Order: sequence, then structure tokens, then C-alpha cells
Amino acid sequence: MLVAVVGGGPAGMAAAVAAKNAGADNVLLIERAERLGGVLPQCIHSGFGLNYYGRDLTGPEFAEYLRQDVMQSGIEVWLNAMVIEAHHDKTLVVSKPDGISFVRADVIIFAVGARERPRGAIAIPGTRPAGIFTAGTAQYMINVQGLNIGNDVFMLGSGDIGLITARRLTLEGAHVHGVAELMPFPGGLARNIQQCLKDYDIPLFLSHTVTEVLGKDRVEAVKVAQMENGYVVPGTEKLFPVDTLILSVGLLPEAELIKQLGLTILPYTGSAAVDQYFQTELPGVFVVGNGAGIWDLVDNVATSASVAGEASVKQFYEPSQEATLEPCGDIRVVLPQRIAIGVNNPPRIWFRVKRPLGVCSVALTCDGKTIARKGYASLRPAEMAEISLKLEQYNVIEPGDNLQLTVTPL
Amino acid sequence: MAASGGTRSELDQIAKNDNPINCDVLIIGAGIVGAAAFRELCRYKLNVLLVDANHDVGGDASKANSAILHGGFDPNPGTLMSKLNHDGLALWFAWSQELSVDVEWTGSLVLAFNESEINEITRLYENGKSVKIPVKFLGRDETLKREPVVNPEVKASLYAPVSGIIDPFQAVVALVGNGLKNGGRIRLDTRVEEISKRSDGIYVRTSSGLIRTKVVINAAGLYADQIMRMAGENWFSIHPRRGQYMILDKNVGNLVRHVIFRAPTSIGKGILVSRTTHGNLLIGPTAEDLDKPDKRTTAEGLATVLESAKALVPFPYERFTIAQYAGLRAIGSIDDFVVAHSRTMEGLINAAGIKSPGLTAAPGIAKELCNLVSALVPLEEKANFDPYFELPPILRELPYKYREELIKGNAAFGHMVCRCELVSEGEIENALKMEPPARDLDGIKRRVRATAGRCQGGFCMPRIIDIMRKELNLPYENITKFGNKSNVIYGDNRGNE
Amino acid sequence: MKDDRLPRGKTIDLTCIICPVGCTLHVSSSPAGVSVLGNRCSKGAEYGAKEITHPERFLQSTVLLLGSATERRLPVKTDGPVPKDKLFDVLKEIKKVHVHVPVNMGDVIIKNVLGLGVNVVATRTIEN
Repeated sequence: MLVAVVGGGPAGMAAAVAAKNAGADNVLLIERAERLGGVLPQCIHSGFGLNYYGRDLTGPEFAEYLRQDVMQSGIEVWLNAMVIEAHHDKTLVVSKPDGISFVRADVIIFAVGARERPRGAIAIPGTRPAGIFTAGTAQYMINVQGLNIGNDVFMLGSGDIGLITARRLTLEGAHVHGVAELMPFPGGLARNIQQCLKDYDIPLFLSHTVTEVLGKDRVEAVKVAQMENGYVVPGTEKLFPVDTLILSVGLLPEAELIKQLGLTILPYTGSAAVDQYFQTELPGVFVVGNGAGIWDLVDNVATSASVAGEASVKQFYEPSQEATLEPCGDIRVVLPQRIAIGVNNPPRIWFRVKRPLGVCSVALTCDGKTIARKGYASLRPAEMAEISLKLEQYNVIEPGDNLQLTVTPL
Repeated sequence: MAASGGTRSELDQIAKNDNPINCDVLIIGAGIVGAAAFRELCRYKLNVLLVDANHDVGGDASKANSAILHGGFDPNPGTLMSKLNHDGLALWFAWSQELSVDVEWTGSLVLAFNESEINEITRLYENGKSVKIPVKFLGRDETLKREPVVNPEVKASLYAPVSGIIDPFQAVVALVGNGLKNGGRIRLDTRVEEISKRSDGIYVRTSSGLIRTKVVINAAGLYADQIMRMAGENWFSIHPRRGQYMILDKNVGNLVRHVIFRAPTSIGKGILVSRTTHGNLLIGPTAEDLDKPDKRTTAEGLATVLESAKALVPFPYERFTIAQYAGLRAIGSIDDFVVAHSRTMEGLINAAGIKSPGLTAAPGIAKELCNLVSALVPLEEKANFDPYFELPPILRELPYKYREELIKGNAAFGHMVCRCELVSEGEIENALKMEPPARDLDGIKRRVRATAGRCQGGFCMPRIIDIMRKELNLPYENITKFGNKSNVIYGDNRGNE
Repeated sequence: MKDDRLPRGKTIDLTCIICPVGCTLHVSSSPAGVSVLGNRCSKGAEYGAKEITHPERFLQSTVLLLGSATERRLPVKTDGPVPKDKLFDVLKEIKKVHVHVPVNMGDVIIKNVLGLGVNVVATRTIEN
């Protein structure tokens, strides 16, 4: 039995190790870059691993632990190898420096990660000079390539990657003039607002956006204004004389290979619908990590990908034996979106909310009937929260049920 | 600007001290018109030099336009524009094959939503008939049958089967590449500063040295009127008309089969919805008359593009946009192309006011320019002229067998760098080595598509920078987006370079 | 750099940075000592108290790496907290050094940096 794992980031490595430990004969891990780790080698900051390894690690350390597990498990690793086509019969076409390979797998686990939304996706008007980077690209250039990409910087978007990049730029000697966030609340975790912005007196402008990029050759300035219902509030426009604009405006699952398999793409995750084992509607095809939907912590990515890796070598269930699950109201994203019935383990349901909520209650319902309920002191859009179903709650669910996840502020 | 006493003596000084670069024909401007003229003139036993102020070929308008081959029904019959559109369209059939330029004959539909627009397309229909271009008048049902996604409120349309889409930048590269192959020369980053006629030729002072030539072809696009004024020719002026565009993800490239236009108004052919030869969807342009060149996109302009495109073909375009840009069309003070000998300086030939359909007309303009040149210097065809040009291989279009062969020859062809457009390291190496070579990130993007996809270079741009550094032996801080001061990086953050 | 030190007898609100939960801590100081409310674990109480007396941060950066075919930088961290007002001084030290491959995760790159009692250590293994 061959399990092919596409993508050697944390999700792919965790899935590959779990598949091997669960008894897969052969596991092949295919990575497009020159090293394993995905984005972790560029995430040199700490804050990883508290759940998965029980200690505070930096990104490279988290990757290093996983990499050592991969190397010790007898997993075959291809580096500089990119899957360029995926076929319904679980054949992968891989381009490598030594030729084109056709991999006929029994199981494919896609751990392909996400891409960052570029300037063009949010259509910032103005000129098109050099000096505009997405935050992840900036991190790669600063931390892996070792480059100075800007001296005076403005940042759009307050997601965690952006906040951490703002701090990193400051530590490298750049002046970060400010961070604008279109929403009335920050996108990243509260602790990152503290330790990345407040620690260095970087102003955060909520309900603001960049309205224009100026500069002929290199960015010379950006215009920033307060926004209300999608419109500029007159008189609030400010000019920041910067040479660099960094964008941290969201991630999108890299779903192109998954689309080639004809799987339906959910508009709210941007990827295929998965069950609690992260298996798609196509038996033997799994999608894990940011390729399945955008996660918050690498710990959760590794944990969930391990579930998929282990399940990939076990018996598959009949696709007719499943219920569906969708997000409602202030719930933005739910994972899984399909629940397999009659398998051994009750599922863990992951979700994200649309706006910050205080004390609230999250309910899993079916036709108005509550199956499970859990209370939270607070929920924030930046965080992935979860409900683990108990066996008796799981047993109530029947094939064909349309389940809904809702949140009620208390 | 015209040669004053002071500058003339300065020029004389330079002419005495410097060895000028000599040529028979100097072409100013490596946009589509200059490139087409370059290719055609390199057929002959002439020393041809092409110069451009930019860091790469492709001019200004030629790399930011609608990428359309126009059917030829739009210009008024009897105008030079009408004739050259017609000639150019016919020539693109042959040229696209000789030069392996991507052209697709998709046909176009001009939609009418009200009585006055029906009158407009009726006029276009008559134009087309009078210059013998195949055009067909379609009613509402026929229109919707041919293109089911158009706004069902459409009343009628004009169908022109002989029109299509082209990759304009690839066309410029192929034309310049073919000219170079046949002995032509090129100088980029070369801005023309002064032109002076003397007994032994025309002297052209540029930012990179003095050039002495027998003939000058002014194909300077937006700046053609400035070149004319340098030769004392003041009857003609140009102003820029800005067109803003949005490029959409390839996933929605097949929204329309044809190029979809709206019935024209006085200031342009209106917003269009079209597929590009690369499979993206293109919407735009706006038509904004400006005093001076300004390639900014604006919130209002982009909103107009969206609104107008939705009126033609209702679709949530904003959800799929990956890039926006603005191009500037050169709008002359007369409503026709100027392709003629200068009125004031013998040896200068102007190709000015080349607005839309300049891309379509370019081969026709080039042939006309050759006629004009023949009145000044004899044209004798080279025995060994090679009309063919092939761009380096694009791997994603090749069967695996051939990819395999390329990888065996150079492992870099197996190393994929750009995920969105599936571009290998080997193709980027080729872009840097080919003639004319890519010298910056945008040059690579336009030649081989790396960074042109849905992530706009998020993954591959840092890798491409490494490849450029290695292949061109450049320090990081010298790598630019498009030449000049568009440096991407300020250096090594540990001072190790 | 901002100094969050608390004047005596006042209460301030801090965001705990120990873990992703990010509790809001109400820290007050009186002659009897420092009290912290709002923390959900003992680490939070410790952080809150420290933050108003001698704030500290863990620091991560990169050092120049030589001899590797693919890598130009080695990521590093301090293995203990650094006083907040010494962060940029430590960074200056980090920018001065370089290392050769092979390097192992955990290797000490700068011992007892600036005499602060913490080491700068490698956070990645790079063999060649």
C-alpha cells in the first residue's frame, strides 16, 4: 500500500508519520521546495508546539522535530518535486530535477498549504511599483534569504503573520509606520497585538485601509483612510511616506490540484468538503492543513493531519453513510463538513467565528434539535475553536442528517 | 525642445569628439509598431538600430492594452486607420505562424442594448460591408445562443468572425527577436534627447550616446509628438487616454467565448469582456483623457470597469480579480493614424497617434513604413532573411515525452518554480538568455508567466530573485521589478554581499 | 521602546503573551506587593507581576550561515528571557556573528550573551 503525501510542511509531515506508524507499507512525501517544513523555517518566532509537543518552540524547531520523525520512520522524501497533475485514479504526475514521475498511489493526502491573497485580490488602486510584498513572502525574504526588503514600512492587515512580520522588521531596523485593519477588530491574537505592536509603539488603525499606492519605481508613500460600510470617511485620509507596503490580508487554500479531481469546492473554506478524518468525497483522497481550510495554530494542523494520516491506512466507510454539517449565523467556517456515521471514534468539530464574541454558547443542531452544546468565555475570529462530540452525542446522528453549527451570545 | 543655437553647438561638439554609432535606419520606440518595423526592415540590407527609453521592449501601450485583433469594422472607411487595420489583420494570419505568436480567432460580438446603440452597430455593419469584412447582424435570440452569458436585456449584436485575441507582449518579443536574428541591433534605457539634420546624416543625441543615421522612424508612442517637435514639427500633438483593466483568475477565463464589446461611444470602443491567450479573463478599459501620463489605477476607474462589465455580462468579477493595471493610449490631435514623411525634416518618418487598433494594424503600418523608407534609401532584400522565430519552449504546453527530454538536458526544467502558472527554473533561465532577454522581474513575468498567476509571485518571486542573481551574476540590491529605480531589495541584512 | 512599569498604587490592564489564549490581566501594585487578576493559569500571574517590575522577552533572530549549499541563514533564539530594554543590544551581538555548517538545533551560538545569563542557540539543524 502506497500513501502519497503532497506537501512537506507540518501537515504533510505529521500525516506521513501517522500513516507510517499506522502500518502503511510505503509512504512517499513530495515537497516542492528545497527543504522540508513548509512555511515553518521562515517562522523563526516562538509560540508553536504548546499543545502538540507540550513546550514553546520556534517554527524551525517544530519543523525540525517533525523532520526527525519523518527521517526515522523510513518515509521516502522527494525534495524539489512538484505535483503538476492529480488524476481521479490516484495517479500523481510529479516534476523533478531528474524527470517526470507518475506515482500511482492507493491513498493521496493533500497537504498543499495556502497562498496569500495578493494586492490584486483586493484591488488597491494606485501605481504598481516595487516594494509591495505579502507578509509570508516578506518573512521568507528576511529570515531565510536574509534580505533587507524595506526601511520604512506600512502594513495592511492585522493577521498574526502580519503582526509578527511587523515586529521582525522592527527588530531588523526598519521603521514600521503603522498597521491598518479594515475590520473594527484586530485579525490576530491579542498577545501578538501586545508583543508585536504595543511593545514597539507601532500604531494600529482599526476600520482603516490603504486607499492608494504612490510611487513610480519603488513605493514612495501609501494613502490610508478610515472606512465605513465600504466607503472612505471624508477627511480621514493620511499619507505615510514609506518605501514598502506589506499585505497580510488573508490566506486561500491552494486547491488547484484538488479541483482537478472534480471535487466540489466549498465557498467558505475554498477547498473540498472533508469528513472527520479529512477524507474528501473521493475515498482514499484526504486534504489536511491549510489546504483544507485556514487554521490558526500549527499544533492544530499537526494534530488534525495526524488523524488523517492514521485513518488513511484503515478501512474506508461507505460514502452513503454520512451526515452533512454547515456553519450558521456568526460561525464562519466549520471543519469537517461531512460526518461519517458508524465509525469508531466520535468526531472533533473545529470552527471559527465571524466576529469577536464574549460569553457564548455553541450548539450542534439537527432540524432544530440540539445534539451537543458547549460554552465559551470568549471566541475570536483569529482562533480555531473546537467541540469534541461524546459517543452518545455522535450516535444520535443519522446518515443524511443536515447538521448545523450555531453560536448564541449569552 | 527644438534645436536651439546652444544645443546645436553642443551637439556639434559631441559629434566631433565622440564616435557616433552609425546606422542606416534608427527606430525610436520598441512598442508593437517599432518592433514590427524593426522586423520588416531587417529583411533588407540595412543597418537597423532599435532604441527605447524603457528597460525592456514592449513600450508602454503595447504591454497594457486589450490584447485584441480588431475586425476592422470600426474605423471609418477611407481613413488610413481603416486601411492599415485591414492590412494588419490579414498579415497577422501569416505573422502569427512565422513568429509563433499566440493568436486565437475567437470572433467578436458588439452588443447593443438600446435604439441608439442599434444605430451604432448598424453603422459598424455598413463600415464592415464597405471594406469587405465579414460581419453579421444578430438579433437578441441569436446573440444569446452564440454567447449565453451576456446580459439578457441585449437587443441585438454585430458578429465579426474574423477578429480575435493575441499576446501583445509576446508579439513584440517575437518581432524584436526575429529582427535581432536577422542582424538588427537594439539599445534599451536609451532616451532620445535631440535630433539634428546635418549634411552627413541625421544626428540623434540619446541618454546613452550619439547616433548617426540616414533614416529615423519615430514610433515613440505617447511621446511621438515630442520627437516630432525635436524635428521642428509642431502641427501634431498627443495626449494620453488612460484605460484601466482588471485581470481575473484562469478559473473563470472561459466565461465568454468571444470578445464582447459594447456599442462604441465617441471616446472609445467601450468596456470589453474577453479571454486572454493565457486563459485569464480581462475586463476594461476605461477611457480617461489626461493632460500628462499617469498610469495609476483609481477606485472610481476600477468601479466603472466592474459596473460596465457587469452590464455586458453579469458576473461577480470582483471575487476573481488577481491584478489591475492601467495603460495609456496615444491619442493624436487628428482622428487618424499618422504614417508619413516628416513635413520638416527629410529622413524622418513619423508613425504617430497610433491608438487602437494599433496592435492589429502594426504589420500594416510596418509595411507602409518600409514603403516610406524605400523613398530615402534603396531596399534590397537579404538572401538569407529568416522569417521564422520561435520562443523558448513553454513546458506546460508540451507532452511529457518532450518535457522529459528537456529535463535530461537540463535538470532545471524539472524544477518547478511557479506553482500557479507551472513554470520551471529552466524556462526562467531561458527568459534571461533569450534575445531580447528579460532583465527584470516584469520581463520574466511577461515572457514566461512566472509571477503572473493567481498568487502574483508570493511563492516564486523570492526564488526567481535567486535565479536572477545566479544567472546574471547580480547582487541582490541590483535586481529590479522593471529597471530604473524599481529595486526590490535593499541588500543583505547581515552585510554579506 | 515602551516601558509598561506601573506607578505604585495604580491598576493597569495587560494582555498576557504567555500562550495564544491572551488573557487580559488586571495588575495592581501596593505596598503589600503586586496582585494579578484575570489570569487563567499560574504562568499568567507570574508574567503579570514581572511585566510591571522587570519586563522580559524571549528573542528570536537569524545569524549569517556559511558553507551551506541551500541556506544563507541560521535561525536562533535566546534560551531564556532578555530584559526588554536590552533586546536591541542583544540583536547587535547576533548581527556580528556567523557560523559554519554543520549546525545542530540547540547548539550554543553565543554563550552568556552580554553577560545576561542567557545563551543564543540554534533553532534548526543544517547539515550541509
